[in-house]
Amino acid sequence: MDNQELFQDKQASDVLRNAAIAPPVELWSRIEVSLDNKKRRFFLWWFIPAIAITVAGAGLGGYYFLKPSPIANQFKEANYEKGDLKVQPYVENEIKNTDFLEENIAKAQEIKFSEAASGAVDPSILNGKSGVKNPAAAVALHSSVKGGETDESKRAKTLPGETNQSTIIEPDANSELTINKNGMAENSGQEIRAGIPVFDLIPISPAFLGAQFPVELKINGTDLPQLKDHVASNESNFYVGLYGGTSLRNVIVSKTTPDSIRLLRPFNNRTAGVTAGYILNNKLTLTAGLSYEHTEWQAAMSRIMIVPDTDTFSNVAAGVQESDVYIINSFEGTNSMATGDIKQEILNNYQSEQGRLVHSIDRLRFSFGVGYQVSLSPRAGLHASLGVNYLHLLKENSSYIFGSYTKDFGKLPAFRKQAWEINPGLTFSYRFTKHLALSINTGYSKTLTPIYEKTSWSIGEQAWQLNGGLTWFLR
Amino acid sequence: MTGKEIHLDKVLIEACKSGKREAQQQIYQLCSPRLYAVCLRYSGNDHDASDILHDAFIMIFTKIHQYNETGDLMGWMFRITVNTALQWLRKKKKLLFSDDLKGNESPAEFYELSGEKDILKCVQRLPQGYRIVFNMYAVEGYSHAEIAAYLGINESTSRSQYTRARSLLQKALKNNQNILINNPDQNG
Repeated sequence: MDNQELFQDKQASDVLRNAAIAPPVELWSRIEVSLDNKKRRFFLWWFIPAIAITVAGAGLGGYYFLKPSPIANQFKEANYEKGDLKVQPYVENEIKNTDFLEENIAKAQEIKFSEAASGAVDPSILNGKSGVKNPAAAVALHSSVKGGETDESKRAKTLPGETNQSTIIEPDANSELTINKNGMAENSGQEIRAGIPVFDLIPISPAFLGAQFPVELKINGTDLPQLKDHVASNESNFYVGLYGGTSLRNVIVSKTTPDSIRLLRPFNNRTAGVTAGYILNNKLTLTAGLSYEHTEWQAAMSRIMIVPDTDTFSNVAAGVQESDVYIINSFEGTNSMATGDIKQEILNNYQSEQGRLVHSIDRLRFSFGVGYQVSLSPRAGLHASLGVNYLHLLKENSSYIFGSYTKDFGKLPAFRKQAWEINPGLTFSYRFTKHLALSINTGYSKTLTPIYEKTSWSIGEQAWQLNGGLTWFLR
Repeated sequence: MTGKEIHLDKVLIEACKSGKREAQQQIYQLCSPRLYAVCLRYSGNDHDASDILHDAFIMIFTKIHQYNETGDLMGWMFRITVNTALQWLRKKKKLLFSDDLKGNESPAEFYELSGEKDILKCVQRLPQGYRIVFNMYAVEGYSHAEIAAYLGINESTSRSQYTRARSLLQKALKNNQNILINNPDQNG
């Protein structure tokens, strides 16, 4: 290959390498259509399986939670109407010899409550004198429905610590009963029992007795006898709530290429809102809410900065800083990575390195969630939830304050208008009445989308939040 | 590798990474002529080149988040386009390597080409195997070993394909002296 040939080869290669020919005009339209289809396909690939899994999960969960438990059936069958109190004891294992059962109930009926309305009240409920609790009598009745043995003979056979095979759960056996002026029995007290079934046969056990929590339900002379219908039993309910609170948020600034920067920036925000939900069988809940959030970035707050150099890991700076001209004076001179879009934006707007920057954000938060609720007592409940929130920026404003000097900067550029957030939480509620409850919520939230756009920096938020509120149950 | 540099703004790249359609269109407008020329070099006709460029841009916009900003974006896009072209040809079973010229790729027709822009057409008119190997070796700078490994052919086949391609092109260029020597603008 002579020089002339080599020269020609090089020339040809250069010409080909630098060639530029306009593609057909309609090609961009085709690309746009394909990109849209690809996005749609991506959405379908992920969204449809996600929906399918959710529906399947909800179906299984629904089946599990909707399946009536024996206890729920007992509550359901209980008729608390005045004069028709019938709560049958639930016997978990089948009683083989029912002859003895009837005989013993009849015997118990003879012994108890001659003043009770005849035939209207189940004898297992009427277990004491009018208005006086009688746990011992209740226990006597427990033993009386198990094979015809008297409580004395049963106690003689069952030593402390032994477990009897038949388990009785009798929620109202120890209730107070009052006879009203019309001669009808009224249930004016409720209770919850804790303990393992073995104690059912050992009434002298302090563990059993100590676990009784009688709750008075009379308020201003009005009976609210069925609170546990709504709290402790499986019953669905709608509710609406008002809440307000505060959260400690961290803005997380990070940039991973080519160096790493991570900066935590704490600030407070205040939230007020309404929420509504539906409790499915007092366990599964579906919620939706709307809240208004006002944020103020306080200049005086400290911040912690960690700037690792990913190349060598030798240039690690950590510190606490009081001034608040955001990013610039932290990074300048410390790390060459201060050359970012945000820094330039800040430099354009805030020239001073002293004073404080107050940045306020008003946002609307739409929340949707699903949760699981457990009852701690007839009045208290604990609710674990997982929410997805959509945030919409209403307005923002920045001002720089130095002594008496204030300068308004208006909006920070490139602040994202919308963001998505995930929000697990835990709520404790205490129910004062059938309808009204006080709740305290604590939770964690994290933005799923950066709060800035058009920047090479990744800026997100995470927050610990605390809210208090009032909830009104509709049924 | 990429010849004349095309400056792509960092903000534009970031916007493209976040899927902004305007940014994608801007990048397309800036880069598509160069990439289309690559597609023309590898494909035998305009229609195929359009299809390859289409697939290449879909790949570029889908994978742009993998671009790590340390290298030249244009070079990255070139590599994607070349790979897309080769995959496209393989998929369409057009990646054939033959020793003989045939059909409309006859030397007579090849030699008839003339004019400045026709050098690209010269390459386009090369037989498929010649064209691929010539592009990869002479323009993209791959070694014969790399080409052989990539295309699944022998190294000797790659050498022979290139030699024949070069021979054909040289004959064409000798017949069209004005293509390079008389057009210094195209030379550098």
